[in-house]
Amino acid sequence: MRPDCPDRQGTPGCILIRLGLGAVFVYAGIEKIIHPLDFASSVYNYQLFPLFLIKPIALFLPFFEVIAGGFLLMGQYQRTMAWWTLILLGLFTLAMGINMARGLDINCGCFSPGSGQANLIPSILKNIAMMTAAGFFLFAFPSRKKSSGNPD
Amino acid sequence: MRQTLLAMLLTLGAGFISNTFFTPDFNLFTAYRPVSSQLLEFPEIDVGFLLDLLELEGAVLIDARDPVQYEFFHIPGALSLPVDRFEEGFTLIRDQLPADRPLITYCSDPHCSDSLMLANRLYTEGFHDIFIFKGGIEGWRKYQQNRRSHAP
Repeated sequence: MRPDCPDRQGTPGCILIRLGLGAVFVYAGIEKIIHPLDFASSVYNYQLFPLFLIKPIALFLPFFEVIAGGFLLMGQYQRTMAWWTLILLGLFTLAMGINMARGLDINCGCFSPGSGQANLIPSILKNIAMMTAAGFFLFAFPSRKKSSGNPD
Repeated sequence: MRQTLLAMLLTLGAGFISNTFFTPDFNLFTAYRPVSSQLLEFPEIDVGFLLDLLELEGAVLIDARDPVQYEFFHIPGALSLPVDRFEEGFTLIRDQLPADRPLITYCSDPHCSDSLMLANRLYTEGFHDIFIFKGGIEGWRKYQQNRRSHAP
């Protein structure tokens, strides 16, 4: 299956964003997979989910991050996976924003769960930067429309 | 849609495989139990110290695991007080807990946290001379195996 992002046509920005987003998601996911209990603790600290959902989220979410990031790195299903990174980043940012508004003093658990400073502002800013990149990837580099005469 | 479904199926598969083979202690089917950072710490003892406390000071051993696990195997003389059902269990064995002798809690292995949780619950009930047998059942089994292999 041919990827639909124009990076194969040599758009450096598109390649850079795709590889960057993919690498960040794979790295963040692996860190959480290695330390599931720490990540469960981070998810719990957000105080947004019932207890029975904490472990499934802590187990499966990191794998989804790795798989979405992996597909981006491989150049497969780019548009779909870029949408998912955008959605996930949006949800993470929303969760952090809610806890900032609540005044909770927690660390984000984004990369090394269970460690790090209890300051969400830098994490929110990083997320916004990545969301901007994903948005740029999705909307500033539109895929070529397929047509009957086009072998793509 | 198909791409998202594929990613989700891969996520589920990878999650279950990882959970089964690499993180079996992270039991997906039990609700997450938060480990509060406010928990008190207690002296952790090895099997030698455990035997001394039992013999010389008449310490009382308390098994913090599930009653089914307790019925299957427990350290001889240990009482059962599952931390999940503390209120109910504490009422039953309250009379067997001496105020003037040490209490020793244990659970399944060096990594479980039920013994610490139970020690904290007992502390709040007024028992302050508490030790944790860190090796738990796994440590006790190793001790028994060593003893058998060194027997004449």
